Amino acid sequence: MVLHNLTLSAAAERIRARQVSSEELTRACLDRIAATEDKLKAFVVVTGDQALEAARRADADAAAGHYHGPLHGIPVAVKDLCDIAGLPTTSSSLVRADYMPDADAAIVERLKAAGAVIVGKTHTHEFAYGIETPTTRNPWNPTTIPGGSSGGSGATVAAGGAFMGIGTDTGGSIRIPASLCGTVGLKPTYGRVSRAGVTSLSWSLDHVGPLTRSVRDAALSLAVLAGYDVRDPGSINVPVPDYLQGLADGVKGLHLGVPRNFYFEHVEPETERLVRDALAELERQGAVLVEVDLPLADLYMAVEFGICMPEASAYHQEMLRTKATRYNDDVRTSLEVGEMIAATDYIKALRVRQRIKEGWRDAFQSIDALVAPSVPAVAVTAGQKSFTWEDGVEEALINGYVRLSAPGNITGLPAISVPCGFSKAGLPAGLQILGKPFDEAMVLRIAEAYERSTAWHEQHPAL
Amino acid sequence: MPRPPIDAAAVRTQAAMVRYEVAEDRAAALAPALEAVLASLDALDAVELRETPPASTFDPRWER
Repeated sequence: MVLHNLTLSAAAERIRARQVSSEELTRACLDRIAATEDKLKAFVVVTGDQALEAARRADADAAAGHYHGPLHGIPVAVKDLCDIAGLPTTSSSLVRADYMPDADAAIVERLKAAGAVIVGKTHTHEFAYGIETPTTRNPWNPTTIPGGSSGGSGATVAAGGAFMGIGTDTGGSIRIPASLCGTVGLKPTYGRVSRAGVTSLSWSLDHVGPLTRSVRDAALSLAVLAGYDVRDPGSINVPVPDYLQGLADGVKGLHLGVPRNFYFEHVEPETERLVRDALAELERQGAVLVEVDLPLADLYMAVEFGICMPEASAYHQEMLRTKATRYNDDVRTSLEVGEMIAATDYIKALRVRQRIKEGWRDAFQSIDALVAPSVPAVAVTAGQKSFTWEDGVEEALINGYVRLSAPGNITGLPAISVPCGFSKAGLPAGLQILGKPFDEAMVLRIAEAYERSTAWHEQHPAL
Repeated sequence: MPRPPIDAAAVRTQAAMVRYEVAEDRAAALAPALEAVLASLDALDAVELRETPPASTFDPRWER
């Protein structure tokens, strides 16, 4: 048994049964990180000593009969946008190299209360403002990108450095690295998970969620992370259900929307084939596939960037004026451009967002969920800056990778990426499932039904 | 009314309006990026918004 390759669920069962200790699991993850970090560079900081101390506390609690739940003693990694008291939150930026929070982010409080063991803080594309995570490489092929902005969490979860990694998602930053690194990535409904203590990219679009090695792991993680928090103005006070209940109910009789427009345009043929195969598998299991047309699709990117760019520039306004040269050039450029967007255009984007929300509500009247590719292509070689599609159209890399995930941020709907196969080059692809507001349970149920029929999630990169 | 082409001088003027100083060479590099983003936003004019309010306090629930 290779401990670092277990799913979180399997590791939790072993801890509960006292077949393995948290210290053993933590040492296995730390050893794996040590063995792979020179190739992946997934971590800003590895907190080995603190992790072992937390693991020994978890073992002592377990020995005393105090079991805190499925994350008890489980090694996890936290994206370095999230505050952990006593550790810098660098946001993978020189601008914030010396920023030292004195309190834990809400999700870190929840992880600690659940008994999780934090092994370190993972790299993000600088301030989450990009999809490459240039510090970090993809464990399936270290010449390629892990995606982003939660690239460090995607890389280390896939490689066995942690059983779960926290990500944030403003335009796809959980689902993109999940897809490119071959993990599950769950962006919950807007307002479901508190962002208190998490460095903002765009208040209106930011979400926090887990990257894991199985759908069940994502369900267990969300159960810990979800819940109302008055400190986050975007937090919404709705009940948190039992995400395991109904998880194995399958898809028989469910109506799954397959987009007729937008989601299969400018998608690599190989990726489209893998997603179509996954749709066929869901149909074989009894789902009813329903073609749907999505409204205002040609405006999704304008709305995404029309909201994200001015909000990001507002957050960075003072830092840009005092530390501009410390930003990487791509992020600095985006922040400078965002400064020059008129408030009226920003508000227009917010008004069109409302229309898109209404249109998606109507599109969902006849379906239980929407199923589509997570991203239009598998991981590209580091340094590649654009896609050239079959019809000759050239698209900036960030636009291409964000294009299919941004609707989930604009609508705020729950969305998951689940592995759906590998390209001929051995790189993973992701299937995206989007659900109704706060219906993460349905998204998880469909993803689990698909995952159960495949073995994609059981494969591990040969680093 | 279409926007005029954006050049380095326009970038510097716009930046000055938001109290941000941009060097001449950097302004030239920013011009095409700004032009692309603004052109993208101009496409939003196609939507008949009438009384639609902004989703500035966003709640993804369809029903309250």
